Amino acid sequence: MWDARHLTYELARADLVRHTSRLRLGILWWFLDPLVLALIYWGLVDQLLGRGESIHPRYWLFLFLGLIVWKQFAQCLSGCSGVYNRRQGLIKNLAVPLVTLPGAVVLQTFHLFVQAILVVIVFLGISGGVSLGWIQLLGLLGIQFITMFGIGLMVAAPMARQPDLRELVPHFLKVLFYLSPVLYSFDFLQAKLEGSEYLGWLNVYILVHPVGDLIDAYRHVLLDDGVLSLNGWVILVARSALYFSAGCFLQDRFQRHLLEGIR
Amino acid sequence: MLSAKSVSVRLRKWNDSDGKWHWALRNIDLNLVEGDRLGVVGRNGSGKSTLCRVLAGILRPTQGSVSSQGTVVPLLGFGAALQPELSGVQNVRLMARLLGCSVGDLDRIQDEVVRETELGSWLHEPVGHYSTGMRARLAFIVATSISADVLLVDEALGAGDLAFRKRAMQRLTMFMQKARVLVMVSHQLQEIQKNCNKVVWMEDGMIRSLGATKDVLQQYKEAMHSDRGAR
Repeated sequence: MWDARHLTYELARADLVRHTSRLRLGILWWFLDPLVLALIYWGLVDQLLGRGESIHPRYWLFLFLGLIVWKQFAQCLSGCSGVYNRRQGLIKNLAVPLVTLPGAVVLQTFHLFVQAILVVIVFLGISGGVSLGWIQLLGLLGIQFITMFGIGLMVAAPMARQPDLRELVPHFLKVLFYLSPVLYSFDFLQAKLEGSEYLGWLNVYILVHPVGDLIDAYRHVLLDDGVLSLNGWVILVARSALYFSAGCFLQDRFQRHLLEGIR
Repeated sequence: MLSAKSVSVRLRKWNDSDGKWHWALRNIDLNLVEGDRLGVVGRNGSGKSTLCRVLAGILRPTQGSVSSQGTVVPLLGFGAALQPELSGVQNVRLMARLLGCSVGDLDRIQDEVVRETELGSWLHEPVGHYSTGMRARLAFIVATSISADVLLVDEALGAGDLAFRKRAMQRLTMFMQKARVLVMVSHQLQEIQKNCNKVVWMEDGMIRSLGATKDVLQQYKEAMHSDRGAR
């Protein structure tokens, strides 16, 4: 993976250039896209509907942060699940290290996520000043990248020969969206289920959810100026390591099988 | 420099999870040293292209192993790497990296492409706007700009118009001469005779004969003639 990092970068770069080359405003859209999304949520949720204050005082930003993390996860999962099929031409004719292809998808979506986070940081910096606690974002970004890379590898090779399974990905994402802390937070759910027999199940679900804790961590750092607990960091790091290891295992396990058919 | 030890490859059709497996290559042993020019001949479906792909590292053997030293450049369907939305220049960069070129070599390759393709300002246009010939020319020049220690060529190249094709053949000949080891798959026996000092004759995924060009081509031609006679 490390040896193929330059090629991964080149493929991700080509994908980004390919996307922006069709647009008149080009790379400006990297910033405009999250900015437009943020404006929509601010106008619609905060100004027009005045919703969500029971969940968070700045609910539109809360929602926006949840959505950008979710968007990267969803793009990563759907992009990686069909990446070997889309890139058959390359795989059949060139000795491309297979891991670079899902790697490029992850890198590309991660790049767009970073632009969106920068928009939030600039907005928060202008409206309320800079916080030293934001340094934690570096750790969160690293954890997110490793988690997404793991998830990308988990789906890329096993799903390459399963077109029916790939059809289910958008439906799976729709269901998972409502079961993820995008519109609400896990804290909000835990408070609602306090004393209930389902609280234990909820805690297990939170523990395995790929991005739930990450979404809440970004919100805690950026919106509440909070400091993540050591326990929280350990869980985030352990989960990303787990997803990454599972991804490497599945990639290795299915790669040979995949090549026997694809090339 | 390039060797295959007891290589077998099992394949099945893509997107056909219930499809039948077949052995595309069985027990292939090859050992190529510096100066070797190996021609690969055989009927369609005999395993020539699969052998080329295994030696290039594109396909992993199901059994056995392939080892190589130096830069291995496969001149197979390299045009597949071209991205229609990217400009010629952007494609050059991507394709060169896909073929294993280092960052330091990118500028040299870019200059060579500008000089040799004669595409001029087209190089800044999306490749999707190119004609088929222009695309083939671009891909061919990039692929032959990489310094290859081991070069694998599958079939003759139809790059561009007639005038360019003549120059392309000259360039390919020079490129092949520079390579320390050459593996050439072709149905054109004159091409094999001209460029190779060894020939392997493939049949049903196995080596039927391996030896000096003259001897193996003679055997191959005789077998083809007797086959036609039998029909």
